[in-house]
Amino acid sequence: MSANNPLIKLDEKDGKPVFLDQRELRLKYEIPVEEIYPFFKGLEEGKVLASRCVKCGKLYFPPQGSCSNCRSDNVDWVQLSADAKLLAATMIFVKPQSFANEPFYLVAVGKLQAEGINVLARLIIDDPTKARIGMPIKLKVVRTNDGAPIYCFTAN
Amino acid sequence: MCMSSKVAVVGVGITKFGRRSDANLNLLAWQSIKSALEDAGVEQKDIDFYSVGNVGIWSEEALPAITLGEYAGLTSKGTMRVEAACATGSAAIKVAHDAIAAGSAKMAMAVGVEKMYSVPVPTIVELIGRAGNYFWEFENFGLTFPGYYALYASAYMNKYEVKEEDLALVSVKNHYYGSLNPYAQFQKSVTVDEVMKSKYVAYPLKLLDSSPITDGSAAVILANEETAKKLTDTPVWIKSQGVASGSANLSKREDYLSLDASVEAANQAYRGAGITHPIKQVDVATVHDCFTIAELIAYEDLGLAERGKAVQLVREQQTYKGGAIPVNLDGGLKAKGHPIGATGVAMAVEAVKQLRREAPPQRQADIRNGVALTHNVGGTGHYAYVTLYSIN
Repeated sequence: MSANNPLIKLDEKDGKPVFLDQRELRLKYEIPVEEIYPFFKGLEEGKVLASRCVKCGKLYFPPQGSCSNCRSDNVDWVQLSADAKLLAATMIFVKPQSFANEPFYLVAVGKLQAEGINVLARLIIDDPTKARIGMPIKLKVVRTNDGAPIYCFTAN
Repeated sequence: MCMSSKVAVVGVGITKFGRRSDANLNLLAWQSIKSALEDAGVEQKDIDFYSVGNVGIWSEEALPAITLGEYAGLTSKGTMRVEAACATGSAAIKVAHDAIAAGSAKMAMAVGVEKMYSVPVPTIVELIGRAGNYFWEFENFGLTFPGYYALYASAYMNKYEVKEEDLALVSVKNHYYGSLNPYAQFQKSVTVDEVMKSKYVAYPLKLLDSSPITDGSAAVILANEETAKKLTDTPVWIKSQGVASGSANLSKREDYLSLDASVEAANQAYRGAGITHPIKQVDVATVHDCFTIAELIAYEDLGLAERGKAVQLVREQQTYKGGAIPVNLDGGLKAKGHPIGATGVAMAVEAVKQLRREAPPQRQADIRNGVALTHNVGGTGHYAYVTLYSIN
């Protein structure tokens, strides 16, 4: 800090003067989910639901309430199957600030064997070093520490 | 795509990349604008329009095109800020190019600038991690930007039996060229051993597989054919631009071995410039090596290597100067640095300097056909821009 101005500090690396501009701003988004509300109701019941266009049959996951393929707003909801194959995986070591308090975690993409679609989610596995591309995994719903239901992959 | 009227680069400017606590966003932009004006031999009054590539959620100004325009004496000129994630710079060039091609400007400037060190590093990790689908990937699962490419790396390395040591060879090459570039953030070589010992960021990618956080700016001045020929004997023509996009959610991709948007953008650009055998017809390339795996995948997406064979190019040093297709002779994003909005413009600066044979001798490619390629990806193949530059 400069002796006569608390807002000027000298850069920690090269000593150049910088103005310290610090404002508290909590990011709070209210994201409308009405069109996919059945997805959240499904999670509460332990199911992962995809939306499917009633007119053309296109399956959407992540779900959407309107079909961009045939422009129909008429979708129904189908439960995704559990059996998947691990397509890609990473262990996140350098975490975002808002995830800083979590232990290192695995994020994976699995291909659902029945539907042939890919899902991205956490992979919960006892020994992360045993994760192998191509291994069978299961899509399931768990509860976070806050009690919110969320989908993830687990080892068989 | 085919271009109806010719557009040339007539001036280029770039700043030192790195941690620039000596300069705010406006000054940083001005430093590259000043160089570009001097290089082109023109004044601000000659510029009809300028586009500004800046992602900028980590720096303080909400209207960077306006604030840097005031500093740089460009006030009153038409302008807009452009965003295409890490391909923002190439998008800014496209906007300036198209203004000239459409006949609404005779001379236009594209400025790329990014000031990333204005916020703490964890804030950057947080904000870049949202560069995909915020709700379905970041909010729920805490995916990071290196994490996206690490997913690709895991699938690619498994499919083609590529090792972490192979990825390290890309870092070694790009750091070697960074050591020869006075504008680069890292001007020192690294060894495979040093790369292998660096800490994991997102397994299997390590710190030395990753481009850094960077402050920097670059600017190019473009002109129509008549204006360019009055200004310079060495115009560098923008022969073609290929532009494509990919799905927001990575889960909507079929596999994790290739970026479809890169393939599409490359095909468009090659068609527009009449390129049928890129490795023979392109003299030098800058590709988007935000991570080492991205450079390998780029070789294949650009048709410089067959699927699964990119690693042979680096093992045989075919992408060094003097090789079959020199790539990232400026150090690439890895060593030169990656100020997100400036990167695509910096690639153009490098392409022009290579084609004018103005690079330092140790990293000047042999210019035989007079053609250079830039490949600039936004996000993880969310945006892709491939541009071909030519002296003919």
